[in-house]
Amino acid sequence: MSTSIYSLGKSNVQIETDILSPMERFPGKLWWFTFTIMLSLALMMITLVGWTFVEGLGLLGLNNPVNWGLYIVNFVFWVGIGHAGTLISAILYLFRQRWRTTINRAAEAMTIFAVMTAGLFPLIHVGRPWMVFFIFPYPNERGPLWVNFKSPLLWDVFAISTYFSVSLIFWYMGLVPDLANMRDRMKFEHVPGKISSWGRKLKYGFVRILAIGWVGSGKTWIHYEKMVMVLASLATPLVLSVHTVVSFDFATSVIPGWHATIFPPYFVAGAIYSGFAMVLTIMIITRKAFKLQEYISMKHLENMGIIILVTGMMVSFAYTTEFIVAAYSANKVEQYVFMNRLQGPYAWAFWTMFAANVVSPHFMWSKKLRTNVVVLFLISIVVNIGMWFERFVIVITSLHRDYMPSSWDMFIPTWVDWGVFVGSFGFFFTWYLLFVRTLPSIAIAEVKMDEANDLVAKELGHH
Amino acid sequence: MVSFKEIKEGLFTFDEPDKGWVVEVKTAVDMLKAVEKVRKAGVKRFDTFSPFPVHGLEKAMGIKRSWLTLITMIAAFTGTTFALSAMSYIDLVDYPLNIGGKPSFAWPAYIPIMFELTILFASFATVIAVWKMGKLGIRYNHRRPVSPTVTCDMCSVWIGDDMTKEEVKKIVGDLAKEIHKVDATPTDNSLD
Repeated sequence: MSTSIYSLGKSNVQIETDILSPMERFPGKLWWFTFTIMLSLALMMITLVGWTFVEGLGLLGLNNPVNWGLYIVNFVFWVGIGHAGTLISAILYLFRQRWRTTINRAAEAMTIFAVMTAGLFPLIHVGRPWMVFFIFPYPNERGPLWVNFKSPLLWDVFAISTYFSVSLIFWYMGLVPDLANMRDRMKFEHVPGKISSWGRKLKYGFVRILAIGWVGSGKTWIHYEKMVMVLASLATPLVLSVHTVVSFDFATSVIPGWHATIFPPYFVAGAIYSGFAMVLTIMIITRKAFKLQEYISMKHLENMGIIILVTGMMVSFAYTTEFIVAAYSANKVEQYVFMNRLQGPYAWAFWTMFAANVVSPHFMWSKKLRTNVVVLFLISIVVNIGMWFERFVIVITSLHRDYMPSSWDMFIPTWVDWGVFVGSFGFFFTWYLLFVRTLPSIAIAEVKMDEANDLVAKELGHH
Repeated sequence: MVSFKEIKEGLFTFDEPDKGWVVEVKTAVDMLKAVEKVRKAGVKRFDTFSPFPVHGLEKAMGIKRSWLTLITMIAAFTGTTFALSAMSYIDLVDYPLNIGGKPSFAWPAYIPIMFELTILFASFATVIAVWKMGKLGIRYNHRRPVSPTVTCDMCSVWIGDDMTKEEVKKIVGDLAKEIHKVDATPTDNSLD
């Protein structure tokens, strides 16, 4: 591999100082400001959810045909967001996409926080979260009473919990060499940051425990490299399976508008699309706030813009297919559901989705636009809005008018619905803000490796 | 066909640098050259220390490959088998339940859970194996690198055999920037 455009030409000390220095200063005003807002939103969500536990789900806009409301919309939305992190850490790793190195860590952290946020929604959607342990199959004294292994809802429990735990260990193992770096940096002060006050001692203690005695042994590195390859190969089918299983929740039912074989690939493409939009949103803010423009360069943002273009077109293709299949199906109910999306009472949601998801990615064809940070930021927000509406359209418009016109009804979200939705952003960003202040948001060892191995390749002729 | 011996060699473990000499070198390239010399000189216990994995390290250290993948594979099959047998037992013997007239043993419906448990078992076994073979874990949190800046930018080679400094110098030649002695694995007990 020759020296690529992603090489920085920086010394190792310089690299780690650039990445770790935000963690060694007291957070600035901007961070505290954002953190306060996000934490308040998260607390608002917790309060509202607590209220629904006491009062019941009647506080939400749910009614008889629309039994799945905004909670399920939010669940699918947040799980989808998580997919981009695994795509970057696993799939782009297997494809030897070197540009992924610097965005890998933060994107994976985003995956974990997004899945955590997503996981909340089924729990609070059941209305009686203290009964949730019923979904876990374990030998029990209630019978024997086992769960239904033939139900997609149970597959989802397995898919999401496996996805969360595998992403977590993958992310943590990636952090270990960097934690060791932080530990030694604090201890030996080849840079400022002497261990003196109890706060620093506490931090050092935590970092030392989390670094699990990593000392950079060559033998361990060889196993470690193999492990990264293995975990990436395992995470690749896993991430594809997760949104596939989420789509089964819908596709295996008989509700017109849900009962479609295209759902698994359609959901996966949509997940990657929305996930990359969120990565872009977060990266643009992070690189600006922590002055990491050299690491997360314009080229990285441009690449993400191209992925948004590609996955956006895949999603558009899926929309078209759905309509053509409905038109061709000769099934009146199916045809009605899709006409209802175009013209019915929720047409505004459909056309918002259409404008945001089908039209907006095409701005990325222009090199000028996809290398403009402001444009990229706006597009990423628009795509996120569009993808949220996509889930709204799928869940709500399919349910509110089903087979029996006498039972048709409208779903009007209450302010509790909206409050929990807005609060989920607070929950997600609270975690993310804590992460960028406490752990290196760029994989230091990997950046150093890319720098050094360019030299190794040059001198020894390895490939 | 791979021999049992080869697999056993491929599951090599981390050797605590509890005595011997640490040769600090300037660059990763020098480290590769130095460790190759050390290996060719017939040194039994040696290792390298670097802040990042270096391409070509396996070749330089004379390690054929890591057989970590075997552990992954065994765990993966265990996961699949466990999921299939547990679900079959529950649905056929312990709690047969008629759901929509579907057969009790509805193996196609088991595939998603079998898949998820395969991945779960394989991933955790792989990580646990790396912890075991690399001697990592919370109980090792006192361990320190052989040179203070190993996790920052220092590449070094450790020689664990009984040798004098002159012998070490003879092996590595002018690749060495500095040579220092270790008597025990460096630890840090400052917080205890």
